[in-house]
Amino acid sequence: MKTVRKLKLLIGISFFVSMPFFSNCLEPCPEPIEPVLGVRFTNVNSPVLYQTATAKETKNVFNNSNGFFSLALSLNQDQLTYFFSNGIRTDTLTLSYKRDFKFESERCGFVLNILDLKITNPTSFKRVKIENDNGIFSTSYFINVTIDD
Amino acid sequence: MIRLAIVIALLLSSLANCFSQFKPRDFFLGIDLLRSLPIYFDQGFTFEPSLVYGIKNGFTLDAAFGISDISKNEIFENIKYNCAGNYIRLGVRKELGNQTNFDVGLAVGYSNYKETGKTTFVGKYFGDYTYEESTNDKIFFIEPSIDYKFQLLPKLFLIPQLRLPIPLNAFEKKSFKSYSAPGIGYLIPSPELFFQRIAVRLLYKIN
Repeated sequence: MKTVRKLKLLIGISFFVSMPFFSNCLEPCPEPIEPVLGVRFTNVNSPVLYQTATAKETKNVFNNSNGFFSLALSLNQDQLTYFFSNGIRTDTLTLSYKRDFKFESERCGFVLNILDLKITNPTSFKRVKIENDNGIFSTSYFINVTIDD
Repeated sequence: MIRLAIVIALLLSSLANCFSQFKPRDFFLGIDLLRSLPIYFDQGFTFEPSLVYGIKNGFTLDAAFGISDISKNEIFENIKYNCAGNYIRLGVRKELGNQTNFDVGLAVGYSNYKETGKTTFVGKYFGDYTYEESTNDKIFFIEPSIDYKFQLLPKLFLIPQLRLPIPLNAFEKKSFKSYSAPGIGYLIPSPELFFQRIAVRLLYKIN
């Protein structure tokens, strides 16, 4: 009887100890789709508010939520130019990056990582900063644009 | 399907009462039936003809050559997989006694193949992109096995076999994890691994 009780206790403890390993603690695998990064505009002494964001290579318009844009990066190119417009004014932002396709693991298969993300010309904004987003977007980056003109 | 399987099992068990000894200089042409069926893969084929030659004292020589080109729609979460190549297996079999149809065998084999993995990344704004990796590999292996002979006709034998291929060399280092090899089957743990080790051969005596 004592042995049976000890065994039950051991099984119970093992169950609780092992729970974190079986719970949803593993990082989710990136989906095999276009990576996305966010762009946030900070307006200092400027009424500029963009309504649309597009890119030269696509007819689609990127998502906009209260001035926060989710931009897709191309799977086929290493440089893209985006256009932000409010009907009166259009500004450009050009990004360059490296596409790193690789075998991640048996759990995730092939994945795409975006490396060396940089702001290049032509870019009409004067104050642009790339920051880490702590995993909110698949690229792990977002861009902070300060407009003060 | 279940009734058919029961009928086949009953038929085979009745044949099992006949002891089928291979004699010296008996020469057989064979083919692996199970390998040809798309059970462990989604598309493609595996073709494995073989030759069996009786020596003496219950020993036989067993040689097989295989060509394989199989595909699986998804492995490792998002990879469309293909494995194409060929293999050769040479071995010796021994009957386990006069009053039994069990044989045991040991073979050495060589598999030469190419694995390809592809994933299509979906691009809603800028277009899709298909990423592909290919690697060539060679494996030497040994294969202990055990089988049971059912004599269907005077010259026709059905032989279910359990094979346990053991790779002898390490795979080439590559990003894409090696998944399977012709003549061996899956190289990683899988629920289907045990069933992949089962072969069903048809042998026809030609002399």
